[in-house]
Amino acid sequence: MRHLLTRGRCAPRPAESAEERGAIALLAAALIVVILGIAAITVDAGMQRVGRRDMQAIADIVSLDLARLVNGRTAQEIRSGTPGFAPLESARDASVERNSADVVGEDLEVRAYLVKLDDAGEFERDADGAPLQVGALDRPDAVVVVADASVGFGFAPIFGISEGGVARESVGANGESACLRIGTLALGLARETGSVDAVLSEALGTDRLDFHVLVGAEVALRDLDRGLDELAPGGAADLATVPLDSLVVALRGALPATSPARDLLDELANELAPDVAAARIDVAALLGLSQGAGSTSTLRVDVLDLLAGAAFAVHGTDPIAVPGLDLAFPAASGLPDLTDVEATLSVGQRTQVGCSPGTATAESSRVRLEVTGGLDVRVPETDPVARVRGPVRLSLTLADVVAGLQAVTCDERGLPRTMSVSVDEAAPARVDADLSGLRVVELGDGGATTPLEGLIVSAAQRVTEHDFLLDLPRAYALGAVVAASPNRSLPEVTAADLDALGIDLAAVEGPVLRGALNPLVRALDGLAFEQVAPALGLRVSGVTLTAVRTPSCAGPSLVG
Amino acid sequence: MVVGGLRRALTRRAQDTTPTFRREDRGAAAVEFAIVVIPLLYLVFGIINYGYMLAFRQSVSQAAAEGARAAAVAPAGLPEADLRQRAAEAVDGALESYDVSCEVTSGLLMHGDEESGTCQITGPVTCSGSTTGAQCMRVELDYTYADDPLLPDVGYGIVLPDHLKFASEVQVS
Repeated sequence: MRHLLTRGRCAPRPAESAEERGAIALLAAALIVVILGIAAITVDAGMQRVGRRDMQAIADIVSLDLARLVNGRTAQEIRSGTPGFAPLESARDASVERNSADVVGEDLEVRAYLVKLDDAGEFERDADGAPLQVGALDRPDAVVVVADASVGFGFAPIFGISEGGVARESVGANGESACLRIGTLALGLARETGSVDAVLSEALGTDRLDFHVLVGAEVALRDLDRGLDELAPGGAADLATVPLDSLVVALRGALPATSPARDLLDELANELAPDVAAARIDVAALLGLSQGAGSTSTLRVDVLDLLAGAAFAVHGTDPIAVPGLDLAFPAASGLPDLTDVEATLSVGQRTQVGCSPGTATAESSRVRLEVTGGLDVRVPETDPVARVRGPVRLSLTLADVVAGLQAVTCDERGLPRTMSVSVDEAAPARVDADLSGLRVVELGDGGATTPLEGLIVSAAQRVTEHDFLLDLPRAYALGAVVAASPNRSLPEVTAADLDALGIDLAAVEGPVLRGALNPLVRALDGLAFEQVAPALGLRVSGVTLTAVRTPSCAGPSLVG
Repeated sequence: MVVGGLRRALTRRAQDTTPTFRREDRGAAAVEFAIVVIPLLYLVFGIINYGYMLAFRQSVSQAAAEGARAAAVAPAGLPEADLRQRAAEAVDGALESYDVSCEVTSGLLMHGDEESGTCQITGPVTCSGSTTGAQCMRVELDYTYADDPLLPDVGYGIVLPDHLKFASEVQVS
């Protein structure tokens, strides 16, 4: 049985063999048809894809070219042309002519639409799906370019289809660009005073150096980048994290040979404390720049600001003490009842640069002043007369400001004219008072003594927002613009603030508020605005905004 | 009954097969299949080859456009050499997966270590057709596919193009 089965499987009958003859040929014919079909689809669909890619390429390039025309002029002006700018149609044709030589496809047609983008970067379309153009007197902010052609098929004509259309779309906008430096604190404003030397020397662990020679010294970020590359051969990443001593050397190399700042940086490189010298600094993060933002290469960086930022970065979030700042507190504040005063001033965070309108923000650095002392004050206004005494600890924080670069406006010639900046003073000045050691003693026979255990009070200047429009000089001679705020003092603490603490202070709120707390707040107010701020060059409730690279109106980009 | 029928059928089938016929046909199907499968495979690989070429052609046009775009969006005032370098880096990025790169100094397209065409990044020069003196950068890629096909050339050169070219010229100022 097994033998028979085996024979039956392996040896076909003559009749079946005769039937199967030619089966391979049939199979091959079928496969060839299938494969040729696949080949036909490959060729035709592939050419379609190439045509689409070419349409995208030409749409992108033409929209980039035409985006330069969208510079704040009306649609009518763009279409008809103004001095220095070709009419839209001829600019489009010239761009197409330059870029269409190798394009796959026939009957190439390129259309340009002047549109207005909404907040999401979208534009409206008409009933046919075409971009909805702005009116003649409206000012578009983008141009939509549609490239359309037909690609002939090689095999599809068998089925009566001779060609297929390919169309791609691209949206170009003319983004203005600028960079903003906020200098609420910082050392950038302290250049006229001695505090910059004290702070930087302390932060960098050196003897007191004359950092004032760095004032006004600038380097091109590109040169700095090259210098860092030379110091770290093989390093692929631009502006990568580098040791602080390498940054100092690179800064020196990027300065002009005649700059006196080079000697100071030489001296600094030799005197850096070892741990500080080895600390790694992320230069790009320090400047608030992102790679590929298109704004880094021409940026010029203030050496003093960068060095100060690096010094703060070394210390992380730890504040840096400011030694030698002689504060006349409380003598000059009209509060002689505070004794054994100890004041510590520190600065933290860093100066920042922000670029890219609409998204960039720059945050100021922060100054923190700690004052401790013993208070012993008689409050005659209360009935019965009370005396407030005990240790107090006051903490004053200044300059917590965020500035955002909103927009750069351009004139009809495509030159930047204004730069609008919003400033959000989240807490430009704030006092935290720890009064938990105070006691209120009613004078006279049987006067009660009320401890204020757990009493910690905060008073902050109210949050403000300002919008500033900076007039950009024609020659781009960039300078500082000071924006002053009318709110320039700390608010008085009220009974409501005390109630909010959940402590029953009805009996003592008069003495506490009138006799102790608010005089202290006023004293601190005077200390902040009349002593600390001038000493550090700080403008509380005001910021110094500086455009740190030439604002440009000609920054075309693809936005869709 | 069923078992008896099956046995008869098997016996008849075995008897019908003569030794002479088996010798003549043995392997014929394999030979036929081999004869057929070779051109079929040639066609299949041809499809792959052509499709790969088309994909590369798309990348060439993308590379030229990306190179031009990189130059166009560069900040104003950037040195010309930096513009060209940016364009070349963008071209390299687009062709990296094919191991093709642009040497901006020599103006050559390299496939690995082999010269495989030209990569001309020129400008800024006055844009052709410009009436306002606008400056343009031009990125022109020409890959000599006939000399250096990306897949082994086993006779497909007849249907494949000799050159894959694309040029983009964009205004930079």
